[in-house]
Amino acid sequence: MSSVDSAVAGPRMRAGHAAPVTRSFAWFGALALVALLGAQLYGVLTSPPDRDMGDLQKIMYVHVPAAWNAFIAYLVVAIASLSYLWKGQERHDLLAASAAEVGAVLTALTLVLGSIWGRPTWGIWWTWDPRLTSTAVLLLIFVGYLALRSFVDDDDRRAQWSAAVGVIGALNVPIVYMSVKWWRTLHQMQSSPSTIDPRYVVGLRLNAIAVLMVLIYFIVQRYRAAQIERAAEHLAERVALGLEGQGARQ
Amino acid sequence: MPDNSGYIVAAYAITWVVVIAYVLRLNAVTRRARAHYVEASHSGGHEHE
Repeated sequence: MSSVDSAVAGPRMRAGHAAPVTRSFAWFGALALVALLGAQLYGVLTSPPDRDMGDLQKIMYVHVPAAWNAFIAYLVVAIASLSYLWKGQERHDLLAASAAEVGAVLTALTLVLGSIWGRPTWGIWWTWDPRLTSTAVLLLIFVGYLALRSFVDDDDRRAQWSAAVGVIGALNVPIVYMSVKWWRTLHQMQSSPSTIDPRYVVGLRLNAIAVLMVLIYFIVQRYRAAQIERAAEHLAERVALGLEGQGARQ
Repeated sequence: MPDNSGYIVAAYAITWVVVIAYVLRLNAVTRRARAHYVEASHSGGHEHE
């Protein structure tokens, strides 16, 4: 077991553990950023202009992967939250919170990019279209989730309430996804390899994979930081209770 | 067709600003968590490796 593993072992940490030294995951982060840059360059440089939108089609390579990967982040939230409710393990709560934060960042990015795409395409920055509205609701739910975590001090209560909100919030994802089919209004149908011109498929897939790598890096790093923070809180509690320190080690 | 390159540049620029900003946030959060841990360890009288 590495020193970081022992340092972030959670509530059952042993006395005499080492200082937290996280095993480096930076190489994967660097790889993800290089992959993102490469995928974007491929998409921008190789895509022919769309018949209707012209070069604006290139915004698809950042907007759609951001949306897809936000959905994946919320899937992680749902699974981790259900795992917490079932098993009550702290690490599932921390994983759900980490994925929720990254999901909220990607959802906000999706909305901003969609707005930038919508202005020259639809002539407006924003409209209360079902897809846009349901995505905004999804973002608000998870901003609320993060706010809830910062307001509740009790670890167990915070984890239970967060898990409930996380599961309910994730239920909104299928609604967001299907909104363009259920309520045909302004937003186009889902952009996927089956609905777009074949010339754009490779670029879209490459960008989706690159953003997925970024997503994995973000969630893992955020989860590790949360584990260290929680280990520090538990250690401080033990010190305050006199369970840790010179006396405890003798 | 009008020149919309400004929107495309803005979309990619914002994407990278968000990615880099979150990487910086992750670094800051991790550094702060480690500092809390070291502080708690000092309070407990631990030696560090």
